[in-house]
Amino acid sequence: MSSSLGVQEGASTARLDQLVDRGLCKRGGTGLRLTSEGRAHLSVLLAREAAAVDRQAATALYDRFCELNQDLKQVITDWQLRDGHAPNDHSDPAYDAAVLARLTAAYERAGSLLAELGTLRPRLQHYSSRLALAHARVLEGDHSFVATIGKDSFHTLWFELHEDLIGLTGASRVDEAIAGRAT
Amino acid sequence: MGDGGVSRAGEGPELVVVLDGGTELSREELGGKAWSINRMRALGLPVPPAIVATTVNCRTFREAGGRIPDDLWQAITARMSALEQGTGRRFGSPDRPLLVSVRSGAARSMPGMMDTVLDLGINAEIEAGLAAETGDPAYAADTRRRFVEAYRDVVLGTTGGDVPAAPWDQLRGAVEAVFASWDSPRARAYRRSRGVSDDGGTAVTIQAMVFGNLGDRSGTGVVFSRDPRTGENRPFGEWLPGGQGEDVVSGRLDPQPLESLREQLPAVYAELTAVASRIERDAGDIQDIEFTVEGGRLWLLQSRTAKRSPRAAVRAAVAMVDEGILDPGSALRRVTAEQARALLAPSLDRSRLTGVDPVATGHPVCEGVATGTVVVDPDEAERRAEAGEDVVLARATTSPDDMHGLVAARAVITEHGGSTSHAAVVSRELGRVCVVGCGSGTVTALAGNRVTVDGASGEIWPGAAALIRVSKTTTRI
Repeated sequence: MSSSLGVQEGASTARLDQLVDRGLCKRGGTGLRLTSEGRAHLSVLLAREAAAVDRQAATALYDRFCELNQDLKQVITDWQLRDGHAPNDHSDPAYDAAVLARLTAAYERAGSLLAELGTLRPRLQHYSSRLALAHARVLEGDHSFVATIGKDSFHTLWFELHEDLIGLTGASRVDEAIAGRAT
Repeated sequence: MGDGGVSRAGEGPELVVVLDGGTELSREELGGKAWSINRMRALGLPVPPAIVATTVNCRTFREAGGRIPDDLWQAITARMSALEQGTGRRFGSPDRPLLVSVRSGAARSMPGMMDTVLDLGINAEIEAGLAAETGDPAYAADTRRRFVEAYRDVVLGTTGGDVPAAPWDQLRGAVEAVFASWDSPRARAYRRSRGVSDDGGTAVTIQAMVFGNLGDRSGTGVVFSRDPRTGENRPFGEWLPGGQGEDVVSGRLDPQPLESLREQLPAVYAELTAVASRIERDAGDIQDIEFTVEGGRLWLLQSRTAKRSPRAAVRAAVAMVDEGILDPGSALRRVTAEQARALLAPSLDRSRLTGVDPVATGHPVCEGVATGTVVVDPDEAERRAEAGEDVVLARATTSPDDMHGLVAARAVITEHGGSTSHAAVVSRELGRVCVVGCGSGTVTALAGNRVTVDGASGEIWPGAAALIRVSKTTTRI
């Protein structure tokens, strides 16, 4: 988590301990999660942030994200499935390599968007470096960084970025889903 | 035909090789496609005549600043006679014109390179000649149109570029485009990601086109060496009399079952089925073979390992051991874990669902069947699952904050989104049964109900539906 957030190891542990002490987070299973109080507090913080942010700039960034999103989700799906339904058993290196080349192309197209996230909200800057790291891991051959749940995989980060951008535009995920954009 | 020997007696490496089954150059030198054409010719199989400019030329092309050196071009033009002799046609001639395909081919297949230009060697005059020969002006015009589109798309990289009229200029342009595509950004990115050196280079294969639309005794089709649906050891496929290769794929014409080829051209059918078994035995796996018949003569265009159903995979692997094609160890590796799982997984017993309607239907995105109580809140889903209950998580749409609920649930159902949605991606990663896009207000309204989710059909059934379980004993299928 420290490396994801770009802070010192000790600093993140201390900060998390505070959150647990305040009852906003709890430890359980393999990690840490928000309590219902924590979730309520977070939604207040996010609502305040969304109210303060340059709404037009956020919407413009989100529109660009949506254009890239269609393509990226298709790439991830093609990584998981062949011909749209059979699970990809990863026995065909040429197929996998073609999908990963498309992932690289999609990542490169997202370059300018990722670079501008920090100008919208500094706290979004980390997505750029974490996605770069996930992409580098994939290129090195660690394919768990494409979409595995529970680690900083390409899809995990992209999904979280999507959620953050929806929040900053003031839209709701369900409304966006009905518009065909947030799924 | 061709001596497969050196292109310049006694000097240096072979620049252009005739693929007549006689060359002993390696896969590194010939590229994968040319190597397999040569291999099929060595087995005595009827493959349209082809030549290859070897991978070594890719380096000299680059060193010459991205142009074809004179000695290479001379070797290519000289070797084209092997294609002309093999087909009785002439490149650049309106009378019985020879058209060719031009393909890339590195030692290992690689995305990002220029792939294929078909029907090269046609212009207005040759189109007229082809129309007269086939008696089908529409076909001749379509061939030229397809060539021009492909040349613009893959060689020129623009939709409006000028396509050279002279067949030899077309050939030179396509060969240059193949060599240049070795250094395309995508090909380079691929090699970087796989740790493949940039030195290897691509070869360029030039192969004669054959015509499936030349009169009654012509056509095109696909044959599987075994039935890919059941694994049964009998040829299976489709035959399209009077069709060209692309017609089978495009669905422009209705193909007939392969049995009609046996009635129409019995000698060709016998040769085709013998050839299919031969390639299967050589490759040690079920083959999917594209073929064309031109004037009663069989040509094989491509052979590759066939896709198959899980049942066919198991049945063929067992049979190939009995037939002495595979040893038991290799046969085991022919059945993937996915296929075994698919065969053994429980499925819905549809005979017990007559008269019952699904309570919701959406896009199936992750297969399997799961029964549980519908819960709409991820925290509640996790809590009840930890207490030992089977739950189905129902959400209008999922967000990253729902992840613990997805992990805890037996199945995930959503109201919005399609097969590429985040919920779909996450479910497939987790191996959760998942149906998405059931429609506003559908699945969240099921809260508290017990349902059975069929991730194969996209249907959600009321209650705990009956399942068929496959016995894991040693019954032979």
